[in-house]
Amino acid sequence: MYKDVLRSMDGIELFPSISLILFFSFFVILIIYLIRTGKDFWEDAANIPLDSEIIFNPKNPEK
Amino acid sequence: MSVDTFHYDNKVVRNFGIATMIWGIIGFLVGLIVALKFIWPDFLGFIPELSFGRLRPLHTNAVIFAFAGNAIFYGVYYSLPRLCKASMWSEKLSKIHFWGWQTIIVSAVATLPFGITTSKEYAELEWPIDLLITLIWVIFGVNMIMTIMKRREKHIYVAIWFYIATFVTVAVLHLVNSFEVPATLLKSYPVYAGVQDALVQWWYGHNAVAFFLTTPFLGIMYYFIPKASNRPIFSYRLSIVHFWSLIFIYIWAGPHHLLYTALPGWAQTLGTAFSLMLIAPSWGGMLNGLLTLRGAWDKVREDPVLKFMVVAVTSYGMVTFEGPMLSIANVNAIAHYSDYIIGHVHNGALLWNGGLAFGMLYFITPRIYETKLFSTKLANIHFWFATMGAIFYVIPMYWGGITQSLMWKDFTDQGFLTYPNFLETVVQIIPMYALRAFGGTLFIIGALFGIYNLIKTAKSGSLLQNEEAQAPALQKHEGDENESWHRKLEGRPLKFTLLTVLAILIGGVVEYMPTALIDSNIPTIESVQPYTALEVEGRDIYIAEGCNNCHSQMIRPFRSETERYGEYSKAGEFVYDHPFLWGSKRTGPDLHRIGGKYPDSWHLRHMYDPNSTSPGSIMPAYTWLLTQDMDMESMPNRIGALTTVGVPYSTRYPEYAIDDMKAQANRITQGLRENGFDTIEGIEITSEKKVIALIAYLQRLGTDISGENDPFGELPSSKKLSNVILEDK
Repeated sequence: MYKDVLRSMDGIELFPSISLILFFSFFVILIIYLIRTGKDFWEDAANIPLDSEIIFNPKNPEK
Repeated sequence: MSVDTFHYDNKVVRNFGIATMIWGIIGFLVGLIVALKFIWPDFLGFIPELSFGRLRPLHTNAVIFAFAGNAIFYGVYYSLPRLCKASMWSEKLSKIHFWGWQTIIVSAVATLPFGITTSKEYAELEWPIDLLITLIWVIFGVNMIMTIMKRREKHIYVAIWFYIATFVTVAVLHLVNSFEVPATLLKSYPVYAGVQDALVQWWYGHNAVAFFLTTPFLGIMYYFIPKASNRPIFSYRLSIVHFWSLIFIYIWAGPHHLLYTALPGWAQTLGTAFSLMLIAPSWGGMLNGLLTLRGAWDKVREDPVLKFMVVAVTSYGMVTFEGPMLSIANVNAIAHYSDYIIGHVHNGALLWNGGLAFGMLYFITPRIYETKLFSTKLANIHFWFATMGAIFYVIPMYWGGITQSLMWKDFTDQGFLTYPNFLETVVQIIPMYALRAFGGTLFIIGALFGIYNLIKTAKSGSLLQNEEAQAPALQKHEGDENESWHRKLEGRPLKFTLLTVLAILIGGVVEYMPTALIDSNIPTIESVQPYTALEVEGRDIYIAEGCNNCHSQMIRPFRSETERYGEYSKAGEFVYDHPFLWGSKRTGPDLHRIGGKYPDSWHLRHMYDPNSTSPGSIMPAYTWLLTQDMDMESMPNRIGALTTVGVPYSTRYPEYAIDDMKAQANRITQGLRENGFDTIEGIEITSEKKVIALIAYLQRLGTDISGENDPFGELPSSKKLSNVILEDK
């Protein structure tokens, strides 16, 4: 049943190749992007787990 | 800038923590029971509900979904609101999620020991429970996504990405692998058969390890290691690459569970290639976790939380190195079907999942109870019991697995198998099984120390039910043109989720589509026919008793296997197998060519007392198969369901199914009587007993390929349906 649905799609054999190219490009772009942005750019994000209690500790609101 | 005040719900965190501990102990104990059965097969007597085949799935389900599952939610419900600086979207949904998940676990306990199972590993639960899992999982997902939507922190921290990937992927895996047609209230057949079913099942099985035992725990690692060591993650950029590459590559690697099987060669190669690639993101993640601690190793010496987490991450590094190595064909040829794999998964389960779970418990409990850990010393003792327990478990399994596998493959100078009797290779490694049970016992004792310590800790404080927190309200940031693209993406949880789904779908689709599309991937064999009604009943008994937990039905194309078992298995032989029963472990020999190998009376005696035919066997006795009646009543429904999933029975076959069963069963019973097997130790052998159906099935296994079979030949249906059982193919 589902085989007929799949068979009836035009050009379905191209889908895997297209997706592979897309994903490969995605990773290349991602890595270039990360190298270009530099480490400092991400510092605030990396500190999220740590600042949740230090800055907004309800017991020491002034901290 | 306005500052919002809100609360973190610690009640649900505590509840999941308690559930993690209770189900953990139960899961470990069931594991110890099944381990003891390897040394003393008659341990706990021969009670059907406590037999190995039925308890083994209970152990795996309890440890994966009850222990690790509750640990995941424990970590998520603690870290997600804190990372989002927001309360969970709905406390009510959190509560429904908690109780719903426990209901699922209880229903597993109430079905698996009673032989209600689909036989598909880590997806054994029957269809009504599958529906409940879907509902509860969606509730968890909605609550999580909505919490992320109303967060007060603009950036979505990397741990949350792993949580999102976990949610969407497990949903997809569960839905695709659970396509089944119900035959009765507690019995269903998967729509896939044979090779396709195997491919879908191991795509699921492998990715259950990936997205249930790995990604959520990586999220936990990314939150709790920085928390416990009080320093940010080593490289945030590495974590971005880690995330995308891991979720993209993992999904392709499933076929490495099926090397040398009847799965098409290209799919096997694809599985190997992606498994080897997987080492890069896995080790990237491991190093990221470990390097976070650089400059803080002095803390590791003192803090049990960090000790557990460091060992967890180290073990993660070991198993993710082993995994790709095991995916290389010639390594797999030795390790597969052996206890090596059991050692491999326990290295991961005991130390990686167990380590992070206990690390979290030691971290969170004192915090939500606003107190100190009752005893650091006791926690350290627990740590050593857990680590030594795992070592005593894993090393004997490695040793035993390789020993046995080499014995399977050993030939004499004359070219005969050195150990033609499978049992010899089992008896050889029983001391290793004993060491494994010792290791497991150490691990459990450690866990009990841990629980005592945590209870004492909780009692020394009081639960901070709603932890107050404050954070500035999130500013609208849509107009920020200069923001870089990945940052933008991280600010848009729904788009992010969509891209994650795309990344994980692609691998599954590419692997699955050609098998579904091109018939030549599964060459049909003209002489292969569907099972008769009695054989279907026998097969369902085989499934209910969990025979597939110890016996494979897949002879690989090695000389050592064709010598021992016979002709290697072909893809076309399994086209009517809903579900496939290839198995993943050989505690006993392969059964694919068992049909016709021994007389019916051998099977009868063997089921009643395996030692009577195979002295020294560690297979349990299945005496109840000689006294319990088979299920004839539901057979028409079951044949109907099998027809729906594609087995080409005549549409009128359900009408004759019961007559066929009776006729074939009478023939077998008659044969047994003629050979003097009217009774076995006072038990009368009659045609309606389960053992007769099981014999019918076992005698049919792997025989169609000879082309001499006419399974329906002398049955009533063939006469009534004018010799047309099969509809035109």
